[in-house]
Amino acid sequence: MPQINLYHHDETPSPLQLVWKSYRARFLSMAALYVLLAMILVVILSPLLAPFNTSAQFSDAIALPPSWVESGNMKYLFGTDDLGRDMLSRLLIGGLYSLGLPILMVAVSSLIGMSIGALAGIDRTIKYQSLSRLFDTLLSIPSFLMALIIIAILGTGFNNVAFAITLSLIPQFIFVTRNAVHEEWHKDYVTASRLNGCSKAYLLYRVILPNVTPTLVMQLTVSLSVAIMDIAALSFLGLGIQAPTPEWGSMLARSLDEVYLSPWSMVLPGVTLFITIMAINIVGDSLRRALKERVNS
Amino acid sequence: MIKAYANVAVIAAALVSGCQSEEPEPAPLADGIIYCSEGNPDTFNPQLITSGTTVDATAAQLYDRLIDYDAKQQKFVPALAKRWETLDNGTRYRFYLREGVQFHKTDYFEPTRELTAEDVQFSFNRWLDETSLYHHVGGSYPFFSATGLDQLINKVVKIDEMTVDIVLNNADSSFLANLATDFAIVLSAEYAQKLLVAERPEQIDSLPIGTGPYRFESYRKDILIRYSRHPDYWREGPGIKHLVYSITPNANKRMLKLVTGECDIIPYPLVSELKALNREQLMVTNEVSPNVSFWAFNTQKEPFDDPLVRQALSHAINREAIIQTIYYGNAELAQSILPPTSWAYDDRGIQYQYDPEKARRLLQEADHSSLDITIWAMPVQRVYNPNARRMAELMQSDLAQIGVSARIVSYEWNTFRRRLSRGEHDTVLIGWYADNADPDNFFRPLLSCAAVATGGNRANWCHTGFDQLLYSAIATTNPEERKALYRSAQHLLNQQQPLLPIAHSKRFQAQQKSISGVELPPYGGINFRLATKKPVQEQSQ
Amino acid sequence: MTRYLVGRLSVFIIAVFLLTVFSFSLNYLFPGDPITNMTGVRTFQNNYSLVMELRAGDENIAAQYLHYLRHLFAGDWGLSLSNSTPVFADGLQHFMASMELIILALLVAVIFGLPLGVFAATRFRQRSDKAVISLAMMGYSIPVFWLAQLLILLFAIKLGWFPITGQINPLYGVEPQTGSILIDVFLSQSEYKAEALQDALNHIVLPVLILAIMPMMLLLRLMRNATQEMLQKPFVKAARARGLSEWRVLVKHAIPNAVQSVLQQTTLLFSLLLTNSIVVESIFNWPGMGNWLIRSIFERDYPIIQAAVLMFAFVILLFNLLVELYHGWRFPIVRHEQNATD
Repeated sequence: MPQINLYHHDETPSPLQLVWKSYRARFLSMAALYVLLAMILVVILSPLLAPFNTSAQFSDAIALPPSWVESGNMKYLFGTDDLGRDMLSRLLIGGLYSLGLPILMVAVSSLIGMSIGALAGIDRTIKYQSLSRLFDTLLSIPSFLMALIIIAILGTGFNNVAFAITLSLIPQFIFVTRNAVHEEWHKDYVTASRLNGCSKAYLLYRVILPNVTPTLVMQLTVSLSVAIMDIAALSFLGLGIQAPTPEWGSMLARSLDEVYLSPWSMVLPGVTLFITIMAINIVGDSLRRALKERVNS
Repeated sequence: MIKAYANVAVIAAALVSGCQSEEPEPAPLADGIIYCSEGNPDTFNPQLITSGTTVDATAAQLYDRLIDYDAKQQKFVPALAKRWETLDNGTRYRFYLREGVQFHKTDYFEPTRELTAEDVQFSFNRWLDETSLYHHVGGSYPFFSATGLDQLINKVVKIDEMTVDIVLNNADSSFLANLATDFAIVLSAEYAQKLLVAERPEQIDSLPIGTGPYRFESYRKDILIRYSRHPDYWREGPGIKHLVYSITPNANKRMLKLVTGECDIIPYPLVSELKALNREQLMVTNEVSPNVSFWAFNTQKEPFDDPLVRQALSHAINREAIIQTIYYGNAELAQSILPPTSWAYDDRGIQYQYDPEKARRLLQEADHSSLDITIWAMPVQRVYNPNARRMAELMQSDLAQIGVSARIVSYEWNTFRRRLSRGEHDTVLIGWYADNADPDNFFRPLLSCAAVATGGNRANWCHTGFDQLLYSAIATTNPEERKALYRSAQHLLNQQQPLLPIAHSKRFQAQQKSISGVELPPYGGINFRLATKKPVQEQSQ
Repeated sequence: MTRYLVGRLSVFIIAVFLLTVFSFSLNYLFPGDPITNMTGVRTFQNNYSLVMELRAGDENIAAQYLHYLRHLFAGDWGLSLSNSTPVFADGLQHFMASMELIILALLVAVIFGLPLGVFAATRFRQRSDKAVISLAMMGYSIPVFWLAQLLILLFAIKLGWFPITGQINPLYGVEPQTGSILIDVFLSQSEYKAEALQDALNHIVLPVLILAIMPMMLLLRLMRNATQEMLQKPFVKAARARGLSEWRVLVKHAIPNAVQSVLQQTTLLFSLLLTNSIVVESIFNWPGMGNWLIRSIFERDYPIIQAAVLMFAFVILLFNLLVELYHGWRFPIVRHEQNATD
């Protein structure tokens, strides 16, 4: 039964929908998004998917190559490492630390950073104005360096590393959110709403937020790839998540002692890390492009 | 993609160019050797430490001892002392010094005289005599206090310019062996005097002067130590002009540097990896060396003060698996702390079997059904343990099976040892290699009450009965009697289990074939005294 | 311009001031005794009381900070806790070693990144553009420590072209004076200067290349997007309409404007370089600031951690200042815009 439209109803898509529409049009963007979503799904399900315990050592299968190599064994799809631990299980569970943990860290830091940034963006007292340049300048200090400082103060260890990276990501969110909100604030449509007597909260949530969402989503992807790189690099240097936890960066670091005996133990975590970061970067890049197209149109 | 980078690099390489030239190596490369050591030395005076890294970097290169131990002939041979004699029923040793022994001439010190009895007296008094001006410079002398040498020697007497007497409190069969170790070196008294006047006494350990085959040039922490040949060395010296220690803590990097030719010799190679690489110009040498790696329990901490817990944990560890995965089979399972090559070795009835069931039962007996412990794992490779962290990982899963959860702790090496000495650990994976051929060297430095204070006793285990056994064993020279005493000691150790012996490892060294004359003495550090480098042309034949 | 200059300089000075406050407070945040963390003199050492007095250890925080500042500017940054060498002198050498690597990498990134970006923009959405841009995406996404290992295995081990660690073969006996190896070789008295220089160049290729790749790819993408955007601007159309050749349009109009918009993002570029230099230096045992910082964190050498952080942050602030000043000098419009919003 056809639905009857009593009134002529013009579809006015939200800015996010507009961006999504142009995002969807590109094959590569969609492919990257699917890869990323699939990875996240796998990471969430990894405790169920992992065939073995990550620390279970099979003394009859030490340094076994992946199953597609002739001397491999189907039982260990990606082979085993030098202690006889299943690579597939370690990669899967490792995703919890290398991808899951960064997602969590980005979520927390974005929540904090965006709230502060939004407040800073609408609260434009003169004092703040003059300080803003200074903050911008200080924000140029890389997050990796900040994470290192925090680790130097607190010491290494799972909690400290997670805390350090989360903290080091916050400033970028503040920065981006404030600038985005600030930019919108002076646009005519906001001024109009303001003259209409809308409250600040209403302005922020109903008027400005929809328009800055794509920018913020883009910053989320940037931060996510930074977080993944940072945690992997820290673990690689031995300052992050410590072995035997199967974090990809630390797996890579410890695999170096056996590159020639079991090259796959170095290649696999690297490739996984590479694909993950690339998928995120492509998603972020495509978002930026879609955003630009929306602005241009 | 890699290919694309390769193109960029090819261009870059072309720009640099000439790097692959077949010309002979420039002179500085042809008459120098680079040894890629595994860590920074703590000091340049081996009297002050027991760490293998420091001994390797200093003892045999910068200094000489009164006597040396020749492992091939299994006897003591003259060094700075051209001969010696035993007087007064073995309580007085007289050493006749060699004439014409020159000290190093460097930018910071120019010797005006040759070696005399005064230098020997000064060197010994530094660690022996608490009233000596230099005794407190540099702090403690762990080797001498752990072996009890500082208690054993009554005084060092200068008879004349070239004769010196060492007077003992009682006869001791391990005395000469301890004298031939890397630690009993001879310093320059003249240099010490000069520094005292300049009010920089601590410089004696950082800018060293000795009589050894090499003299000190420079040191940059984490980067290198530079030595050059001592031109007036008193016996046959090296065939090279320069010796550089390139400090490379990472085992993998060390091996790759050997392959690229950046290192001439490396200690603790990843043997199996090197074999997989199969490079013609490299060779791996090994030496059976008296060493042991063990897992020590901090017996001054709950619950490790209970022997039952220590036994339980010992039964939980699958040491066979460790030998296979960590040592790639290049080691022997340790039943006793003493290696099987020692004449006092006896493993009858003291074997710990891998038995998780029994371990669990023992734990329950000790009222600990679940435990949280830390395993401290050395951050560096050692002869006795090529990879302590990985070993700790293996043990972690063994322990999980009996309901013990273990956390692995590791720090940078110097920090690690400092914290160990403070007794912050629950358990630690560490080991020992012998400084001399006497079995006593495995017991007193490691498990005596005296060694608790000096930090050598990683189990912090002080057992008076055990101490008595050790002291009676060195008081006698009768081998049968000593053997019986050491047997009792080993049995007592087995009951008390302050530590679990894990493996006796073979000692490896990998090098370019063009290098020769670098010895791996079974006792003590690496020795470059006779090192030579063959020119490249010969090497290619 | 003067107003712009004064504005930027005062922001810079205030930022440096805040930085010193921060590094001063680090002494209190690190575990252990603050005076020890500052000076590297341990509490049980004889000269501790002297140092305590010099640093006004028993006075209030403000006085301590002022003393700290005075020592800082006098170049007295304390002693290393692990080997008691003066931190500042050591730090300068590490600083120079890092700068050598970073500047060379930046050059490589600019020399290859910008032209490739322009090239891609002129072939916008054609096959060659797509190839370059996907390459850039990959190069930008590859973890630098993994890339380093792959290239080491390929170039150093398999092909044997380059050495793996350090600045030069130590047997050449080049002693560090400035810390920058190329300068040190020139200053050295060695009779094998030419060979030493070649050896030093050989050592530097791989780290510089690896360090340059990520910034190069970033620059490439930024430049491509900016150029492409410029090519669609009315003034370019006008230039084309005047009958200028496509080459002249690019060189005279599109590229300068694109470079300006890329310049605005160099902060990101530089912080990427610094971040990666920490990892690359650790891998290649390059005696630079990053390597120094990482080791000092392992060794809990607080005076060094502090010095390294201070130097890193200072370099970034300085770099930003220089870019901004250049920007303001070269493109007057920037001065107006920013003066207006301030």
